[in-house]
Amino acid sequence: MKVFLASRIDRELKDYLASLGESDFQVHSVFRNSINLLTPSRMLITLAGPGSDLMPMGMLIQGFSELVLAGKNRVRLAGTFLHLPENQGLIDAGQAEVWPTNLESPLNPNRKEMGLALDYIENKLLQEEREGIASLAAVLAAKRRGGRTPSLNMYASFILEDLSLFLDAYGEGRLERAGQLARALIGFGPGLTPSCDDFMTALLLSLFYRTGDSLSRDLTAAFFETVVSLAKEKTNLISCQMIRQAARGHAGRLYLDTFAATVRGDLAALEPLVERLLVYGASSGADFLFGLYCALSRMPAVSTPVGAEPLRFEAGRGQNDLLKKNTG
Amino acid sequence: MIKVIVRENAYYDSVTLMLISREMKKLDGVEEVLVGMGTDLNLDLVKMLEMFLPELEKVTPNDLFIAAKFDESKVSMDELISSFEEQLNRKKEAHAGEYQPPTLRSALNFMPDANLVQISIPGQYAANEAEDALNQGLHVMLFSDNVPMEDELRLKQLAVDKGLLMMGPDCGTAIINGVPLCFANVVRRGRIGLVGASGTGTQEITVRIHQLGEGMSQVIGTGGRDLSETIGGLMMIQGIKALMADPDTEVIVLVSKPPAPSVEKKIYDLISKSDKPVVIDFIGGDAESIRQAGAIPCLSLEDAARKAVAVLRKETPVDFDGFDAPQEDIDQLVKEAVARLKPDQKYLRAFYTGGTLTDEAIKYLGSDHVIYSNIPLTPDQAMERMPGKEGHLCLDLGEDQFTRGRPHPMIDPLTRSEFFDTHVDESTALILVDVVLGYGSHENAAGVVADSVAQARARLETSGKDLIAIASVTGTDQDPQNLDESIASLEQAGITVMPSNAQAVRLVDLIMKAAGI
Repeated sequence: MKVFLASRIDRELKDYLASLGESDFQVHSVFRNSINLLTPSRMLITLAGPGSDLMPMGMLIQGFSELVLAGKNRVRLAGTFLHLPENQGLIDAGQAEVWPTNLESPLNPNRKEMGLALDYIENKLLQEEREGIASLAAVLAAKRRGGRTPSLNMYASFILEDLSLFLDAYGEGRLERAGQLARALIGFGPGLTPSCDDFMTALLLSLFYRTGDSLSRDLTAAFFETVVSLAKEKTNLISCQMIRQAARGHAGRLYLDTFAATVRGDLAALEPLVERLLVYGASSGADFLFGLYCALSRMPAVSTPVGAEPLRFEAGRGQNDLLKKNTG
Repeated sequence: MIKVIVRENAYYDSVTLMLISREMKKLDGVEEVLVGMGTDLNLDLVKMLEMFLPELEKVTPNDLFIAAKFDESKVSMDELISSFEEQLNRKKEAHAGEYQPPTLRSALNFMPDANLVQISIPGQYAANEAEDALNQGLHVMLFSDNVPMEDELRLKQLAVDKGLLMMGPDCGTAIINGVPLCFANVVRRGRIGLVGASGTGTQEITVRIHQLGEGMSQVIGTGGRDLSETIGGLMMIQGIKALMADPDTEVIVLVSKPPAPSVEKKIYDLISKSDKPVVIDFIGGDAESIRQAGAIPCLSLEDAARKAVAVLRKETPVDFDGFDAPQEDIDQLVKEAVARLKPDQKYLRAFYTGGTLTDEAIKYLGSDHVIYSNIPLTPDQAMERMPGKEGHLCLDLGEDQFTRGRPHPMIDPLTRSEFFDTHVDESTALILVDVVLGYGSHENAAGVVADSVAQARARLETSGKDLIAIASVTGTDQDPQNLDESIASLEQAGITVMPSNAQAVRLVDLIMKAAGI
């Protein structure tokens, strides 16, 4: 029997599989570089090859390219093994290296260096027209520098006003209002993960790790809850999971590493990450960068070390709940 | 005409969606195309663009839709659907020149006969990619640095198990089957094989071998940490074994900094069984141990090239520590140089782009002079310990401390130009530089350094002073940059161009001694 070894696994997925013990998953979607399995509680587990980013609820599998799975196929979990259909063998998740998909240590932000990193991101975004909403970086730049407003693609043009209102509310710390305005953003734009969802993912990560300030925790947690509820209603399952995870401080390593490098102002680390992001997906990477730029450049001054005391959902909405929901 | 296509529960990766959208927009007669997941907001946009059709009424956020507005006299509905299907299948039908594989897997689908992968991505992602390649039976050249030592060990052990080469991490130079990889010079093919743990050291030796009329069978890089205790020389040993077994290799050259003692022993044990001559330049290493292992030790990178060529030609290898030019010409050069210096011009400024070339210079000059550096011979000669600007300085500008957030100076020599502005002043007597040509290097590295020297000279001229500038060029007549023009531009700037780094360093040493500095 062919055994596919998982080389790396998200810590939460490992715990989750252990808590399930046995279950059936359905193949939800198949891409060139990843396969999503749908759990009975409508969570997605992402399988990918060893060269891919580890995603929240994901694992990297040696010999991934040899997996032949199609929509509706069933994969059975038994212990740490995932039994593949049609005698393809099984995936052994028990020996995988366990990695987090969240930031575990304080980021020690450097406000001045972060400013340089944000300038760098802005310059990269301005260098060429983008497919998604990242081209709005040119509008923000024109507004700030008093230049001419550039022509925009239809997505950017359509969302400009709503996004401006949202950012104004967000920048002023009026998160309740920002949550209401997020309705006009979630699920909008081109790509499998719509542009505004990638944008929102960056913004949620920034808020979660408190790159801001003195925003009330209750307000922030309520904002997270509103955005996640909107995502459940207004975007597809894959994008919804990305948003839900970001509201808990989790994201794929590319997004997380870029966020961390930006906050630290580590340009050496940031530059190659930005280059990767600018060609990531149709517009997802650029939209995420645009979100990061907006979120961090509009945040009030830092008063606590980033990541030192991350915000958590209140009881019933956090990590433990995630596990409970899926064991139930 | 407006047409809408809906794929229920369809998830295409976003690059596919982008391709579909772009290609459909190129069709003559297409006015607008919108591709997206069926979310409320995307449907609002469709309405705004007046492309909303009843088919979209039941679309959910988990469905994909494509809405197109077009002139049906120019393009038909069938053509639009064909375009859509064609883009979905494009990845299977891509052709050379149009297709840049985004992943290793797609690259292998595109080029199934490839047996080596060159990886240059941020370090934290590189090990996984390399492991994937090794598991698929591919040799790996890993240019990326910042790969953890434990990953390097694991990857090299895997490569050894599979009989593959795992060159790197941080491997900048190799020539496999005549193909230069990363930073490498264009040298003729020949009968000398080389395994190198140092990039510019490898380049210097291969270039000199080429200039001496011989060529390389294979040039295998290992990455700079291979000969450490932890890695145990796994790839140096793998490379030596490969060259011992290679019928096209008659002489083997090894170049590296001195290995860890346990690694050194393993290498000597192996080469003592070689029936091919082995020439070793473990820069600054113990020559006697090399001799005892039955190999030929060297005095410099250039000496390694000369000895490899000599044994290939069945000649007796002799130490070379002199100059190509007659001694009287060298004496004259030294005399003229000293005469051009003012009494308060006392210090050397050596600005290198190549790490091994710097190492060679410091080890030679350091035996008779105190040389401050970012890679010092002793801690008290660290550049931070130099008293102000008073002291001889020899810098490896390719080290991480100088390249954070900017290109390596071999790629962007302007990095070095800044050091001319900040570190050359009226107390400077001598400038020593390397110019490395070949693939990966700047198209006009010589021109840039010539400008820097000319500008520094112009600054000093106002106080009636001159500068002595000495360079070597690591390049061949077949490199993408023009070797003759490179040398000419240096000479036109009044820079003395020596035939090798070792000779440039020796000339500097003679001038320093003659000037009493």
